[in-house]
Amino acid sequence: MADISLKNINKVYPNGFQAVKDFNLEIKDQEFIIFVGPSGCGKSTTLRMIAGLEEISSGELLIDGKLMNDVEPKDRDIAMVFQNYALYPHMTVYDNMAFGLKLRKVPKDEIDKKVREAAKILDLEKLLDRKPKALSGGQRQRVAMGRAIVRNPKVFLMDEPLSNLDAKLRVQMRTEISKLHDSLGATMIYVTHDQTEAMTLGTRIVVMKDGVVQQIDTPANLYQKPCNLFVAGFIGSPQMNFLNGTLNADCTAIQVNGATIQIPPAKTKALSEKNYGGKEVILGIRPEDIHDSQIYVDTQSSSVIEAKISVYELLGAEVYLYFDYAGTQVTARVDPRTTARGGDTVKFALDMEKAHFFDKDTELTIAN
Amino acid sequence: MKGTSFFMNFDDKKEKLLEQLSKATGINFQITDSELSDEETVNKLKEMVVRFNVLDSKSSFYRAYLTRELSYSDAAAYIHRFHIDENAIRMLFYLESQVDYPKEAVSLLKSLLPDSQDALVQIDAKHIAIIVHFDSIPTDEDILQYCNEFLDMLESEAFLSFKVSYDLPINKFTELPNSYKDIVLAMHIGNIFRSSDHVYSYSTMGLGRLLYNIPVDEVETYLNNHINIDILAQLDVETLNLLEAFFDNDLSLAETSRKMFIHRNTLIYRLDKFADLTGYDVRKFSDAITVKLSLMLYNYIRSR
Repeated sequence: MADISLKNINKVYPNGFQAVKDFNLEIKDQEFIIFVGPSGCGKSTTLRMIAGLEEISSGELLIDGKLMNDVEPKDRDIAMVFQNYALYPHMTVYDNMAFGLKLRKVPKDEIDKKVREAAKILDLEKLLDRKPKALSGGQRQRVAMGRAIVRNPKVFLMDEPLSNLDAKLRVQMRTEISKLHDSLGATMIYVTHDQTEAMTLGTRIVVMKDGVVQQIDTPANLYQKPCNLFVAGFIGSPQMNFLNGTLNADCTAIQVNGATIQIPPAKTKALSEKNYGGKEVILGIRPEDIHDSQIYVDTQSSSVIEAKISVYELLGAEVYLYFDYAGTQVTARVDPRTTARGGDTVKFALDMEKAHFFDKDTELTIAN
Repeated sequence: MKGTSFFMNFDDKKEKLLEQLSKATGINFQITDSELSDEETVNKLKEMVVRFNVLDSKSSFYRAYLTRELSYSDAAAYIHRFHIDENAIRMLFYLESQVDYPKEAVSLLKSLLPDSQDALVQIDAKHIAIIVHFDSIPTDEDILQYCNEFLDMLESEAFLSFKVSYDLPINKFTELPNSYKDIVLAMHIGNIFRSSDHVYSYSTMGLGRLLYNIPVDEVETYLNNHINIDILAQLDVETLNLLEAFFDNDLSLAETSRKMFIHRNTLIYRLDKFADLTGYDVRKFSDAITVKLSLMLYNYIRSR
């Protein structure tokens, strides 16, 4: 398949809007890379530059070491799958998958072989004679994938391919795409704004914001070691909680809303080495690292805060408790056996081993 | 018109048009000592073809009608000939390619239009109009889905990058030329004010349409009286995105910070910084209007 290299890629539109800024990435053969970020962050634009659908303003794109900037999109040996998987309504599944090859004047027997192979991979063999209107949403999306597979490309580019499906189908198709990646052994680049999709599919994730790459890392590292406040807030659902606080002189504790919370030695070391003693910082704590069980609160008495619960949400396997603290809404993800309810004043203990600290001005991570 | 595709050169086009004229009239025409340019000659011949009622395909008829080469009164015979339902609900889409599109684009789009009433009209080497018929008035969501399907199909099947503009659905055939005029304008205005987008709706371009008609010198005067062009040029993409998001979220700090995944205090800090730089605090409605207008006008100036 293919290695892809993006070197100092920039995209500036005629009106001066810079959609992508100095994008650098090395993608290894057979990797499953995810571009994720909020809408307008430049992820689709980057994908479109790789496809050749958008001109690269500056920088170099290489596929298998060959410079692609001026190579026609159709000659880049890639295939694309989009969100709006338009199928030709009057053609069968077979013809829908074969249509692109027919246009390219591929011999009939070769088309037949490729379509049947793709249908087998996608479990569409029994549906080849059906028309699109007789298919479910997931089946239609699989046909759209089939159209890409029959090209046998070096690289698959997918732009929010599951966005039009309902929640249940999305989960199902996510698994199928993952299997597809394993069976095809292809290099895949996948764009999504959904961090759950990114976390579950990617071998590496590129988090983008305002056209700038924020962090490139494995899903686990992005979650556990975000490089800045944005990544910390973007990855994870419910979002990480952020509390403004002031460190004491030797960075062994942080004052938040009048409460003194002790900081574990490893994090103290990182904070004091970077001279944050006595400074204001942002404390980040994930909802699952806020505990309300009596045993935990008793054993972690150095990191206890007290708050009045505003909303109680039971989700079955877990409960979300919402409360206001230090002028911020905080979410705690706790055991469903909790006795806490809306209106109760509850003691919570923070698992400070898993806390994150961010610089208030630069928003960069100080300690994870 | 059948056989007069823009893929041909002028000589081929002239020959084809002369052939059509002679077929329709029984007279053999020849071009001698013409002072007209090739393009003018072809246009003249096209006019004659229209006059002699020899538009021999629905597509060529639509092209002549949309571009007002053919008036409604002259169109009656064609409407009858092509069994066009004048009162059908229809929508016009206008597709623009940055480069000359290949024939493949036409084949792909035609395959998406199985209804015999629908039509694809090749306007020129970069533009295609598509007329789609509906049983009932389509919702905004349906319309957007159509636009995205056209674009996604062209991109995924043929790696062709297009933009599309559209207007509201119509149910009178007489409204088609106006609708065409509007969507051509929508494409033009969209390219100026929202060049990174790919879908433009004429009906949602109100402010852009208004600003587009203001003379450039007046725009410059306005900007210099409010936010200087040099200051606007200094704004980084982060600030511009933040302002756009703040306007899109009805000046709500909470909603903007949530959508942009930034801390509320960070948003306040950046808006304060912008206010220090420009003197405009976009949290105030009147200042927000000035800034929104200034940014749009700045884009307009740059595009000129």
